[in-house]
Amino acid sequence: MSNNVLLDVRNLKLHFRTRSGPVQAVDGVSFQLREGHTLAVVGESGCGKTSLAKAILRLLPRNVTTFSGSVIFEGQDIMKYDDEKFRREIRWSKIAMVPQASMNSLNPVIRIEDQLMEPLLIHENISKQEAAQRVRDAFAVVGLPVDFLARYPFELSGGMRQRAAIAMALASKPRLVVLDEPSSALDLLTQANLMNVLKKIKHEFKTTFILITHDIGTASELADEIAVMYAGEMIEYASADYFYTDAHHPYSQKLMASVPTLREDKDLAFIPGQPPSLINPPAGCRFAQRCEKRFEKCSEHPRVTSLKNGASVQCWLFDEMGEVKHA
Amino acid sequence: MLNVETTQAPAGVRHRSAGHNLNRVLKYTLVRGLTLLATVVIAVYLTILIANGGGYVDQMRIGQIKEQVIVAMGADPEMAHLTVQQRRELEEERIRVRIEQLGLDRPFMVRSFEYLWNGLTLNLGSAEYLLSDSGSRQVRNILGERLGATLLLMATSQLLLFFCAMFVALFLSRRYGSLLDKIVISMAPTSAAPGWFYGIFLILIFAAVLGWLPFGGMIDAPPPRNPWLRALSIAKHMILPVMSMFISSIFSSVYSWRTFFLIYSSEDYVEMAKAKGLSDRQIERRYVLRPTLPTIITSFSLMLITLWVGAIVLETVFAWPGIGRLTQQAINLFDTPVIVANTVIYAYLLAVTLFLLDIIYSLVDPRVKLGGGGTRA
Repeated sequence: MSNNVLLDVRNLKLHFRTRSGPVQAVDGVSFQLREGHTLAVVGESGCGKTSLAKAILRLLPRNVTTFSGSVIFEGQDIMKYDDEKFRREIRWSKIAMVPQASMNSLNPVIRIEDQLMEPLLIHENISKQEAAQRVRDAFAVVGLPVDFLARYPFELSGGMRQRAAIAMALASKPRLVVLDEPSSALDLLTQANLMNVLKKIKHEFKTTFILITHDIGTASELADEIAVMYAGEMIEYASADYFYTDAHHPYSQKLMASVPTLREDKDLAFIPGQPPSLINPPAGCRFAQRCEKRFEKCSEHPRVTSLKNGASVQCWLFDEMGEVKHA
Repeated sequence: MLNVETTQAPAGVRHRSAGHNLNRVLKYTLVRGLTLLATVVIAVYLTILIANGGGYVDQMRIGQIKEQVIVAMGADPEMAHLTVQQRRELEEERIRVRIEQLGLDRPFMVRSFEYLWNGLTLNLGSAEYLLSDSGSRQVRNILGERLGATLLLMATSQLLLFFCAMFVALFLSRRYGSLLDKIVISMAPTSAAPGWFYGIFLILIFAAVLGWLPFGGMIDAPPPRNPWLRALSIAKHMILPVMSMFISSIFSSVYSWRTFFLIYSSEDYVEMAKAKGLSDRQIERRYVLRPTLPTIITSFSLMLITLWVGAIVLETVFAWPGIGRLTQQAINLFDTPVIVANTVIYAYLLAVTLFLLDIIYSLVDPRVKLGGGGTRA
């Protein structure tokens, strides 16, 4: 794996206007992702994970008020592209996605083959035969029988449709694939199957993934880095090697304690309270209300601290040197 | 159709399914045709029963015949030198002949089935009171004369309305929440008033006050000889009725189509199409219009049938010589054959349209299968 940074997101903000006030769905998120690595974004429902994915692909709802920051992809700030350039040069040819509820992401009245070929024919100057071949290859990669290509989406089961959606994302050979809860609606066996497919793709094609999930266990299968989101902010970013044994942010620690494991015998913990509303979130640390380790300083907004093992964490428990101040 | 069928068959049996499919399509077509025919028969028979007041209209007609015969004989000087007894006999004889001529001596229930048969075989018979402009009593001629006028007026306004509404709705669904969108939506209640209501105001403004356009009718009197001038004259007479129908429906049509498109453009696959980098135009065509085509076709074809009925009050307000006005006249005069003929034609049209719709559905929507298989969505 190379060490080139493929995606560098800096201070990304995405705010919506709703009837009850502005929602700060993504609020100043920054991270770097190296080529060939997989970043798992974890967090509770409604913490802004999906909004982050949509912000990267610029799939914005109509009620957006703020959409700012920079997304540097292959050295270019793609936030500066106009919509037409973004559509032609980035969408699907460079960054593809498998959306949440991907079984509904196929047009019911167009044959699967035509839908998969569509982006190839639009973005690349290739013949129909070539496109068809690429689509067949992608189908083989995700382990679907090629003769299903001639069918309509409703003739496939949910799991097959999800795999077809993944094949659609892979067929254009994008540099980055955003997977938004690709397995959440599936049973455990199908989930495991899908994870194996993704692992195989990751190793064979060196594709870079952003895997969005609320399931930390599943994330561990694939992730090189873990990002924890809480109330629209990225509160911890760490290498998966350390994160699973040594999470830093109190929220991450609680999150890890709530995951059942096979080998240890532990009591599962839970986090009391609710995440704050993204409409007018607290001024200080957004987790403070639920945090057992809070102290006076937590009423101010915490800065991001880089730790020695390369992780970064947004918490006052760590001083500027990355040392734990209050244990 | 066959194409659609094969996709459903498992791969292994595909090679022997062609003959089987043809069979199924034929069987389906037959069953569907018979069902629709039964519907038409019931609809026409009900109309016959209702238009004849369940047989009560016979009593009225017998009464009318008696009156006519007595008045005619009273006015005849020949009758003066007959005895009262002779006159009474002659009276009864004439009434009997007239009743037999019209077949009123046989029970209504028996005749109702004859009417039904005549109606269904489009043997529309002759009207009882109404005449065509050329003086014919044949219902066929009366209807034929009026039909052109109605089709011209209704087709112009409905087609204009349909395509304008679709186009504007698509445009607004892209600009959901904009000022223009809000204005159009707030205008939707204007459709609460029917077309003729606006017609009255339009006549007042453009005919009475400004004098730019005629009050009503279909053509200048006397009609111009030059065909171009004729067409121009008809077009001039059409402006106001078309405008009133357009005004009374456009805003609510746009509103409902816009909402319809909005719902379908929030489907997951539409967002996915955007993520795939399709242009707005491609998304609109393949991901919004294509999946909703069955609904659009249904609405379009049902709209086409309504062209036949005409707008009763609107045609009356504008003195437009169409089917709508004819229907109103026929109902006023109890002219049963005309009413029944109108219904028969309408019922047939509706049945044929539904039949064609079934077949078109299976062509445009792969989720709809012909025959027993049902849907597997």
